[in-house]
Amino acid sequence: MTIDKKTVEHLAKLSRLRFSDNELVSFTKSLDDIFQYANSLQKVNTDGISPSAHAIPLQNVFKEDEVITYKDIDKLLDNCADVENHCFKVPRILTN
Amino acid sequence: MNWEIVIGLEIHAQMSTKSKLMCNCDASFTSEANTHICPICTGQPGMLPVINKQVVESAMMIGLATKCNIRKLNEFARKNYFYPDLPKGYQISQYDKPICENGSLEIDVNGVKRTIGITRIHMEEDAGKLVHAGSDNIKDASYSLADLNRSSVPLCEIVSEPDLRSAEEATAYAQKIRQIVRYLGVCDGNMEEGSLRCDANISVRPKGQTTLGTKTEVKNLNSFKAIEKAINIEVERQIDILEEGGEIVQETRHYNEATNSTKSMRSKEDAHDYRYFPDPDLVPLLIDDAWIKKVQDALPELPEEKKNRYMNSLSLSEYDANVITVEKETVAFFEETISFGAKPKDTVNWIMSEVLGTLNQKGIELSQTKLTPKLLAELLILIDKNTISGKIAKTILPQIIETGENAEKIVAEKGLAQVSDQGEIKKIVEAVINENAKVIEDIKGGNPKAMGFLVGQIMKRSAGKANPGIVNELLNELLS
Amino acid sequence: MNDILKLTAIEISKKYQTKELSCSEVTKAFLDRISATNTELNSFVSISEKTALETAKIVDEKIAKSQRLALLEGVPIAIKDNMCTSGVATTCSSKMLANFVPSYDATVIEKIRNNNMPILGKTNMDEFAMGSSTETSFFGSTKNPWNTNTVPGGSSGGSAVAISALQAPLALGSDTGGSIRQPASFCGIVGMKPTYGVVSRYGLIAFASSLDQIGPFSKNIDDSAALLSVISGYDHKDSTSQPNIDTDFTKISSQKEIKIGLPKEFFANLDPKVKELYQDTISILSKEGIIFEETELPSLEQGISTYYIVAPAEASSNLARFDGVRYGYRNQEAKSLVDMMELSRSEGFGAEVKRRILIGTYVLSSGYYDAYYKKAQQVRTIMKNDFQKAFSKYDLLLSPTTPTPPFSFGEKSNPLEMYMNDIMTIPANLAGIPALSMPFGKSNNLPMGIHLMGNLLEDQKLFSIAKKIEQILGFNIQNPYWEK
Ligand SMILES: [Zn+2]
Repeated sequence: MTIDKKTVEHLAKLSRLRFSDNELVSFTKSLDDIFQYANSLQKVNTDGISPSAHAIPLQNVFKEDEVITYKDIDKLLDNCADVENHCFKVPRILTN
Repeated sequence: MNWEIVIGLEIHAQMSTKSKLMCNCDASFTSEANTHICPICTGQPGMLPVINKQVVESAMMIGLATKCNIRKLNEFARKNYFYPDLPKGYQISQYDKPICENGSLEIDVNGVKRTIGITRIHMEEDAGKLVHAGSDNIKDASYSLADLNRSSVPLCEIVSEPDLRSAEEATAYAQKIRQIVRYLGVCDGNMEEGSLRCDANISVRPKGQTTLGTKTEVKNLNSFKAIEKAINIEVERQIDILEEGGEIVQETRHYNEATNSTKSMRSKEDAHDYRYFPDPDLVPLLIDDAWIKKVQDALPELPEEKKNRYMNSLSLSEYDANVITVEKETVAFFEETISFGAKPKDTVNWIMSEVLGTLNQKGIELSQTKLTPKLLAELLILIDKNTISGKIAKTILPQIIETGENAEKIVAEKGLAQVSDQGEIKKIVEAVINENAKVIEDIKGGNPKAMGFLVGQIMKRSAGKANPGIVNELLNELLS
Repeated sequence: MNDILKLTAIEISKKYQTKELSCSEVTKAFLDRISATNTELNSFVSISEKTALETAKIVDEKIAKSQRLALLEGVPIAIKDNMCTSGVATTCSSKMLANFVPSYDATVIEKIRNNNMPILGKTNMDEFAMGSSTETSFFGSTKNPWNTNTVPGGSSGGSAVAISALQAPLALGSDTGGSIRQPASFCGIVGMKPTYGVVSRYGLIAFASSLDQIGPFSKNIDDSAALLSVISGYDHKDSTSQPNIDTDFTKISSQKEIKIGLPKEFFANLDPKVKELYQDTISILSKEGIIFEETELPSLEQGISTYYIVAPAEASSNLARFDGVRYGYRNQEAKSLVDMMELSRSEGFGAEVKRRILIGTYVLSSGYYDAYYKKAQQVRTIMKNDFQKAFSKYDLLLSPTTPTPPFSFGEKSNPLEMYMNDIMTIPANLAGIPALSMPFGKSNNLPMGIHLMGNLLEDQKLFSIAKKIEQILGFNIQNPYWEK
């Protein structure tokens, strides 16, 4: 599997990134290098091996259903670049 | 051509827990923007989710009530996409390991019963709400405002098999789901406030064909009426296209209730790849048999079970058993009323016609009146004991609803008690006979209507209190 | 130079109890050192002089009343700038968060504050902890006090430098693939990554959630164990937190026989100079009765590949929240939502962060998930099994911390080459096991660390054996910068 420019463009779109042509070329090159290397994984026999999503197995961690009110809500909003009516304001969603 | 309609429903039920799925914020609805938020549900850097145990149990309850298998080893996954109402850039959900699978429930449309499969039920967090400024329409809005009160509120998504064959069936299925979650007390079922939301996957195919047609997903079905109308209009649209030789595009469509039409929601952002993967911030959820049993044992009696019990041990007709079990509040009222000694059949009739009728006129709910099951039972017992007639009872019900006074008191105060004293009634009967010689002749001449007139006159003179049985008895005796 | 600066944390603690030193005096000494050296070293991105001295005053009142101080109470500390500090900017050394002020403390910060440890400031790092040299910081790179043309390692380069340049007696770092141990090695100090879940991640800005772990930097093993005792413990706010752990890591257990495994897979890639030092060290330790045995953990060869799939996958998702909507950098010119998000992210993140987001997005995307992400998670299972087998035979596993001595700025411009630097440290994160780096030698007057890995939840045993090794090797951590 090799990584081409089109793939990187698609990944950029999925991850909300935008690149210049130069950047595209450079990321394509480094991603391709990395995956050439990482392809060594394919030779490991993993038949019947279950994947580990966690470093250490734990299970059933819960919180109780109780309401605790957060006191510093205004400070949360202070970090937003644009606030209106106590809401997070964003530019128009659709352009066409 | 003869078309077959194929529908599957995805119902999002908001769990009525006190706190949200992943944080301790108040999960209840509020119109004040961004007041039920904290660093976790606004996706602040470094914040971590912890699962609300009650949501897991609520999901198990829905699964058990719909005959699902409960998965032993569960995991939560991240569904990745960008949107301003999704603070973390991913939604915590369940992907290929949902908590409940392979269930079913029975629906009844005009006496025809069908079993509808339930593919899966999974837990997930809700997104926030966007208000589009300058317009209701996202397209014309100049900007949008994100309110994250709803962010991370717990949902259970209930996905049916494509087993539904008509808009009526789809509606009946949705009603049944609503009835079940309300009985379980896990969701308030309020469709206007969005506690129960429904999307329909709709396709059509020529009758007899086994493969499925191309489906569309219709969103924004905010009432049972909308479900029915939207399905009908979308089916019509699809059939029109196919009959003209066209093809259905697989897409998401938005239902507009005002225009009764569906519209494509396709956007230029076509790159959809949710990149689900197990959420490394959450650990697996292991549900053992003991836990399942504990939840199973604590399940309340469900509508179907209640219906059968009423038919078998209370001798209610299927019709009566059906109507009384539709709403959780009504059935609770019914059960309490009969626990005070009222007769089941009479109680059903009174609740369904008189009580709900009066409340409907006033536009209030059962829970908002001063009428208690005990008060209703007392009223019905008075009828049963012949202390008052049904007719009198109907006239005093509004007063009970209004004031919460008991029937006996009202009857005593107003002197409404039925008169069963033979001597007293006889006096009235004799007086009426004497005053209506002509009518008596008619009766003797064989006119049955004349008898009714006479009874009416007697009742009128007794102010409706004379025991009708005794009146009839005396009339027959005196006229023969 | 003030002699206070050379003291270990435990020594400072003792001098508080005997009233030889006041907390204000100590805190001031380190703050002065920071202001004298930070322009050159660039190890701190912010300094909290006022609050540090306020905390010191509280401690001094306790000292004046002869109240007993808790372990490390009053010992100043530096914090890597990816741990949230309420009211103080927490930047991850990124333009994205340059102005971000959290309204909450990370659990570790809460513990530090509750223990009245003056927080001196926040330390520089590779942007979002992605790097092995602290060169990717938005605020410029941090210099290694041993040689200012040399990188301090990374990503916790600022915290490592704070210790080795005597700017702080203790520091916290975070370690996702070696980000504590590798800079500790490059700076000639002790850096430890605990068992996953021993320290709460609540309030640590996530890089890769299943690998991230906060840990201590210090001059020696005793200080390291003491600091871990302060910051560890179950946290109900972190679902992956380890319940029921003994958080006293200062108990030194002695065992008659110490058996250490030497993973063969690591030998092949060693720089000759590192290899020579390593072999010398083993023979010194052998003479002191420690038993060494070469052993095989075949999956270790897949460490880099596995890590550079798992970590970016998680990172691509963890960094999705930086979309300009609620906090962080926002491009204000954008006319549409998509423009705003794309421009904010493109301008707010540096190249290495973008690269990892791309890698992670790729390995999770449809069609590649099974071949990469799932495969890597399976290899991870195999690796965990390999470690379990090894620890059934050995108390610890030992190797150098890095395959090469510290490198110069700009020397590793190829990303893959940079990634290779983590070959020894990555497996401990994938398996969740505790590991530490301690200094064991020098090459061209640059320090090098030796890497010890222990079994799951045997952090205490790891410290105990490390302390024995420390005593045998007697490495002098003093560097030329101490005289500045
Ligand atoms: Zn919250």
